[in-house]
Amino acid sequence: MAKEITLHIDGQPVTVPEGTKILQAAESIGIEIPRLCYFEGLPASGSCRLCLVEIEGQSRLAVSCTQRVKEGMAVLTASDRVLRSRRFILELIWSTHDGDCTTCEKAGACDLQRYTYDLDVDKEKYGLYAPDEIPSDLGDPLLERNLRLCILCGRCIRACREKSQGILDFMERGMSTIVTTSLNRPLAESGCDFCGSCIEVCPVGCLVERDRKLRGREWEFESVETLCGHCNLGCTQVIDLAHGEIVRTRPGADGYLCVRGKFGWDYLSSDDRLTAPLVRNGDSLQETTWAEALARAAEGLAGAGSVAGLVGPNVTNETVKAFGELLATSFGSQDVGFTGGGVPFGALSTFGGLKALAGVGDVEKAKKILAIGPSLAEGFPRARLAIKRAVDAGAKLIVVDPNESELAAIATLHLKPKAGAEAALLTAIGKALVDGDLHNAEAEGVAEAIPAIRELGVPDAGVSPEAIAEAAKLFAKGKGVVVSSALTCDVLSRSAGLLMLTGRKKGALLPLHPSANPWAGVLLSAGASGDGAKGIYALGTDPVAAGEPPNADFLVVQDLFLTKTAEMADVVLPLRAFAEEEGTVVGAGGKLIAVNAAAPSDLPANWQILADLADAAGKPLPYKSIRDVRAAAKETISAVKGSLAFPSMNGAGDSEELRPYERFELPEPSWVARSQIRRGGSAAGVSEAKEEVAA
Amino acid sequence: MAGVAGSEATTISAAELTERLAPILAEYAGKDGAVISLLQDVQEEFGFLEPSAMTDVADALDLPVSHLYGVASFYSQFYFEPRGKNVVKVCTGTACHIRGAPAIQARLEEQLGIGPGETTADLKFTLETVNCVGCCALAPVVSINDRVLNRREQRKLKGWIQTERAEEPTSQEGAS
Repeated sequence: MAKEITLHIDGQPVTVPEGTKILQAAESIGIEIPRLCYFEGLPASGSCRLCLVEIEGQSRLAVSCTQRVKEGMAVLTASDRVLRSRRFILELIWSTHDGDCTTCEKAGACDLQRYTYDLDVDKEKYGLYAPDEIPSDLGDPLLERNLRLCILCGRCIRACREKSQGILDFMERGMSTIVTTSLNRPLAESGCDFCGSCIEVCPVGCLVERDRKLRGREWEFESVETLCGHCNLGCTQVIDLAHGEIVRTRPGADGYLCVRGKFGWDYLSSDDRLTAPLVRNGDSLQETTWAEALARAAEGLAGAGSVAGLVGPNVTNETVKAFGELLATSFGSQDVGFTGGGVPFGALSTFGGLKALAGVGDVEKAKKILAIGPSLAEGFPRARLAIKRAVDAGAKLIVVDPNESELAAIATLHLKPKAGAEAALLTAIGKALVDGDLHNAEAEGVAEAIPAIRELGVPDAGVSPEAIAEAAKLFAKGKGVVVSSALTCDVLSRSAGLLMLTGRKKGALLPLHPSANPWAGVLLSAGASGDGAKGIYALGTDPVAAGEPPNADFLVVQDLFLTKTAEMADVVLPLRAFAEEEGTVVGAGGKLIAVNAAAPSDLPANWQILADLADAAGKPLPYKSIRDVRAAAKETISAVKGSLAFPSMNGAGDSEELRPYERFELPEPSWVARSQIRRGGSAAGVSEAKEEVAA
Repeated sequence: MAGVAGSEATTISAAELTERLAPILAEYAGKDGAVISLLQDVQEEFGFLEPSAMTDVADALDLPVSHLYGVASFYSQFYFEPRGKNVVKVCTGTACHIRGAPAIQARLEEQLGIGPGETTADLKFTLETVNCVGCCALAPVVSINDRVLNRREQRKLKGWIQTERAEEPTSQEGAS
């Protein structure tokens, strides 16, 4: 416990821990000291001088964002001298800020504008020095960099270093100083991963999203927080609407979104979205009414004799639950399969309770990290950030990846298995743990597994026995997690085995999936194949694109777009996207997280469509509202969450080919064509409290 | 960023780069506060701050390459593009200005076909202006590769340029 320091700020006493900065001490009693370069969560640079305060007994003004509190200090945050100095600094900033608040996107949310108003600053006091050579748009995709508005606070430089690739810095000197990349290259050629973290911290209108331009002023924005739906790491995301349309997304409390979360929302308002039901008429699909489409679907499925359902990983628990209930209640089928996009999720039900699942917080706090799989950093930038933070804090990182990668470069140990031998390598590490007596013999289930593991031959993974032994030694002790973008059944079960052997049972396994709710299908559906069913209902999944075309007499497809599967369907129903749905998901840490309908939609809620279809079939669902569905979903998840167990370590079949997460390609430098972001995503919203189902 | 326009063309192979950088990196390994000295040595070795060398130096120092460019672009002593075999400097300080520097500069620009800060396509000449060389008594001052020319030599500049230009390029001068 740090020593407490008592001081006076503007005459008010305040007691804070030793080491606190004056600015934060003031904030703790509600006194806001103006600042432009300081940003909470980033290292302070003390360069803008706007946060200067007067300390009694000191002749010079002090920089309150970097100066620590001292016992008995008497601070004045708004004395005449302080205000004079602040005005002077703002006047100087205005002498190079070629801004016009009447047309600036940032108006209303601009710190410079606010302080200029608060302090009644004379903007024109020193004239404007802004040579024509300073560009107003550097032409990057997705975001505009208007250096004529830059006030050189350096926040973006620090944000980029802390959260992303560190590609920005102050270049040149004196009046020619600009913030840009090495050799002033375009962002796309500088290693930028377009997370937009720089935009979030810019105090002025220098950095703005291109998509929001001329779509509305900040004070017109209506904001709803939700969960980003582009992977299962559960970053909070705020969706800003202006005039009923999405104009921007930005990070929630977590302070970080990757390029998909930040810029990948255009699919929501795409013209290609399905907005009305379609029914087959000979060779073509024709738009029709909901009543007609639901009647056709109900009749077709009921008449098919045997019905199977397929549901994708990017819908809420409620949608999965209502879907399963619809098939069971209305069509007498227990056959609901879950399609995870090429991932054998059905097998995961043998695999470990929800408690074993880790979230980014577990990774950031870990001391030992085993990161498995290709394109992990590129495909899941939030996982990359978590791993990097842990490593910066002293964690040991073991990377299992046949290729060189960003993570391999910071790894304590980089193991390069031959292609497809990841699982074999994990088995070998497990055996090395046991052979070296590094395992935790006390842990549950270990004693029974040991004899079989001792018997195992060492599978050939193309990695030297010394490296394997070193990995086992490194990983054996301390808070450890396994993060894997390789989602084969073999890799995941061996990962679970390693965790079991080392006695890690909570918050230890993080399988990375490019969808928001990959566990729901496992937890909420019976898990069946659909083999032999005559009627198939595919919701939020495109088996044709995955190379597994459904073979059915009658096919109903419910999705965001007219997918390949939908083109074959007898009835096509529109689907609300993840960001448009209220409900819950099973988040990365095994927690049940509530999401909001953050994006606008004219469609009925997904559960409502399913309930209407049940009505059309004459066998209504037992739900009157989304609350009923939520309660039912929660009950099912609670019932199964504890019944899952770790599998054993032994077993063959190590040759399964990895199907890595398909790498996200940066958009072409033409910012207009920017919809390469995977369609399958969705965004959702979290507003409500997080309930820990796992606990 | 006039001087930082960025020449992407690099004719150096990765192996050669590593070999030429190794002694420089070894000399500064583990030393704090050595970025400027290190960059000076890199420039000495390559004639300018070769972009791939910058990336390798950044990796070795575990710093973002942007940080190195941030430091280097602060100083006028660092160059981001290849320079000519002959660096011709025209002093434009007060004394030289009065003694006719603008006319000399204009003549050199015309004869070399480049402006101040630029390098000829054949990588033979770089023309620069400097603020003072420190020998105002000799004004107007022109120097070639840091050797100050006397008045007699200055009169022979045109002929010298033609001779240099006609000379066959050697491998040292690089193909461009």
